[in-house]
Amino acid sequence: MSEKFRGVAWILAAVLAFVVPTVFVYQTVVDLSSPYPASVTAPAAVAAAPRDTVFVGVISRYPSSVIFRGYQPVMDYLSATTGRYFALRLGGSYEETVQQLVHGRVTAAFLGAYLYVKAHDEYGVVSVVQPLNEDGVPSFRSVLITREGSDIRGLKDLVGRRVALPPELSYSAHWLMSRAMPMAGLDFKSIGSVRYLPHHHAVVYELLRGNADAAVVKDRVAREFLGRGVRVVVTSDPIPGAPIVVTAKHDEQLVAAITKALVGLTPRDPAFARITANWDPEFAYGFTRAPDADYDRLRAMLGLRVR
Amino acid sequence: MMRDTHSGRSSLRVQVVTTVGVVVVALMSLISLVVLHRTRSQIIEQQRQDAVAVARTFAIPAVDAMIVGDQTQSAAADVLDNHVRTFMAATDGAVSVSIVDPAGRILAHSNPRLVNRVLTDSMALRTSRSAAPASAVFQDDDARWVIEAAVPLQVGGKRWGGALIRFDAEPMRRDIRRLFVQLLLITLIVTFATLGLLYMLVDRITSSLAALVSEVDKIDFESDQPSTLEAPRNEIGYLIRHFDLLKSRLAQSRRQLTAAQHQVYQAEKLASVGRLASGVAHEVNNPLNGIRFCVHGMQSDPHNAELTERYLGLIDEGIRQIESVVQKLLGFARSQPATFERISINEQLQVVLDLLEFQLRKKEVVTQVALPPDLPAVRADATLMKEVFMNLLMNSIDAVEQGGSIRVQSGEAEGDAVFVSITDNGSGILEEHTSQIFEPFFTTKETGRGTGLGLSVTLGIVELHGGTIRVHSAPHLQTTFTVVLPRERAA
Repeated sequence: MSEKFRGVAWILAAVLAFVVPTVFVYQTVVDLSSPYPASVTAPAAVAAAPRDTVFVGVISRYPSSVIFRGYQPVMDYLSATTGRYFALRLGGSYEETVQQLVHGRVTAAFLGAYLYVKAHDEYGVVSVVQPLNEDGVPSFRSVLITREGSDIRGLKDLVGRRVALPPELSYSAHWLMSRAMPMAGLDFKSIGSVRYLPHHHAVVYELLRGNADAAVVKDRVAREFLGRGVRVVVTSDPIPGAPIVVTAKHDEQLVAAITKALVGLTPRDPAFARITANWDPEFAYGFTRAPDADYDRLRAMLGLRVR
Repeated sequence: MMRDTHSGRSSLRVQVVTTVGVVVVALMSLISLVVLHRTRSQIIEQQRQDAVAVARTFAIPAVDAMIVGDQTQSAAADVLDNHVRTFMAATDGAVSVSIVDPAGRILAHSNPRLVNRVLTDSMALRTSRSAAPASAVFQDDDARWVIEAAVPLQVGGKRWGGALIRFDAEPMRRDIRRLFVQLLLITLIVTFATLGLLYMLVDRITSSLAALVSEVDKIDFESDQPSTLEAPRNEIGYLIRHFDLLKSRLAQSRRQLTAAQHQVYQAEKLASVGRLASGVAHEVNNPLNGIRFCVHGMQSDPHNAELTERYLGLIDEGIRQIESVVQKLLGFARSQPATFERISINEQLQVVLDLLEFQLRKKEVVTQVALPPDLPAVRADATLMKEVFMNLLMNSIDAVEQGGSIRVQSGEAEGDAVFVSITDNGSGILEEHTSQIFEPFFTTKETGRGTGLGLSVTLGIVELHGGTIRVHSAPHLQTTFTVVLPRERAA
């Protein structure tokens, strides 16, 4: 009898030895609690824009989200290196940014080369730095693009076609209508239709959607869409880089700080790639000084008076 | 015996099955726990990564809306609210979405009643300010398991706030619960299958061992025939084959031992004959002297027919006396195979006493013989029995002093047996020698007077007949050897 009782006791003990840990393990595995990492739960200071924030305007050359994602890192870099807090203040149009600058709503602004020349003449704005291209030269080009498979091979093929262009104050729009077509012996009136769109990306999308047969954009934008249905047909001569400008009554120390921060950062700097990783592709090769004389060539091309 | 064997098999089976069972359960549990832990971690991590990925995707248009709001100096709330509602409608498992500005004010929420409220929960406030996407799993206020992903709404250093998106974690919990049950079932199946197979295997082994033990119990030492067990092609078969070899060697050793014992018996018997020789010579010499005296008388008076007839009668009597002695001696010394037959112990004792009569007289031993006439017969070899009594009596004669006494007694013993006891008042046996006197070649006699084999052979003969022999000695007072033999059972 005692032997039988001992056997039952052993079986009960074995069952308990299996069931109790099993229940414990079950309770443990179905408890999914996993907290946020400590870095998240650490108190975070809420950064507020200081009173002396340096607002920087940008012409609406790209969609605002594209501008913010490519230009805000530049602001962060300037904030980190100059001791001043920089913030973007986007304009709704090319002209609005000029007005923001002239009326002091922004301290500096990214303008296009063509717009700078005009604003310089009209408001006396001063160019500070300009971006370098992949050759280390401060210039860019405008390009005539079509869809892949288009029969447009040159400017002459634009006769009777629909052409999409960025805003009129962009050099790209000006180049086609005022330089490329005349130089090709064509009257811009021979183009079937011309549409000015809010920014370069909108121009490309209009082309890709088939609402235009050809378009003109900056080479930086065209490169973004190469291999994605876009083909370059004609390339302009080099144009001086699109500068960061300030008003004539600018803060010299601030301008010096901006110049030092941007011009001092070269591809030879080991940290260059890390710092510029999220910068707009136009700024991927750094900046150089932008003396106004650099734009005399453009003035000459435009038939403006060279000072 | 069978009970012990069976118990041994059960014990072995229980030990093996229990030990291996514990090891298998432990091993399977360990493996299952590792698999469970790893898979559970992978499931949770994957779900958290998915939640963060969805939240990142959610954040892109939210940030765009913020940028546009900044650019146009207008509130982005309407766009964000639309984005939240669209997201909630299009995303399976989304429980709630909240977009919070850096100050903790809710800009948009899947529950519109919460818009514009300010977060007071420090945890929520902290996670809404997280600089990098992160996630956590916890039970919400409704005790529902949720995965919460927190993503910052920012570009570079420009921050508009953060988005907190909660997803239902119950499906993930169900997956983990299912995984647990599957692993538990696998563990149980593998464990019981292993134990079952093991039980059958051990049962087979122990059965083979039991058969082998049974064969050992039935072993016939006289036969070197192989066992009837079937030898499988495994270790058990190997054991059975070697058991057969052992059995064969045992039988061979047994035969050699028997031959050696026979030689020992014969040697001891011859030694006994030698010791009898003086007595026998006397027994023969006496009639021979009488015969010589008669012959001399007849030669002195050859024509006395009356004398010659009387002397011839005496000569014939003397010759028959000599012939009787020689016959007794030959009968004792004869070597022949043991034959068990119904004999009277008393008769064998009397023959031996007759043979030793001279030695007893020569030493003037007072001999008392008490042999009850109705003593039951025993089944034994008569020659070997005489050998036993001869050895014991000659030892007693050697032990007693001149004029000593020897008492020979037989009778019935307990347990259907008969006994023969030989008691003398000789020098006796020292206590330290009592355990050695039955060992071969042990003797306390002078060199040349004893072979040391007498008692050893005597013990062997008694045991061969299923009997016992014991000794009780009080040196110089009384020494008794008692032989107990089973009486012949009625057919």
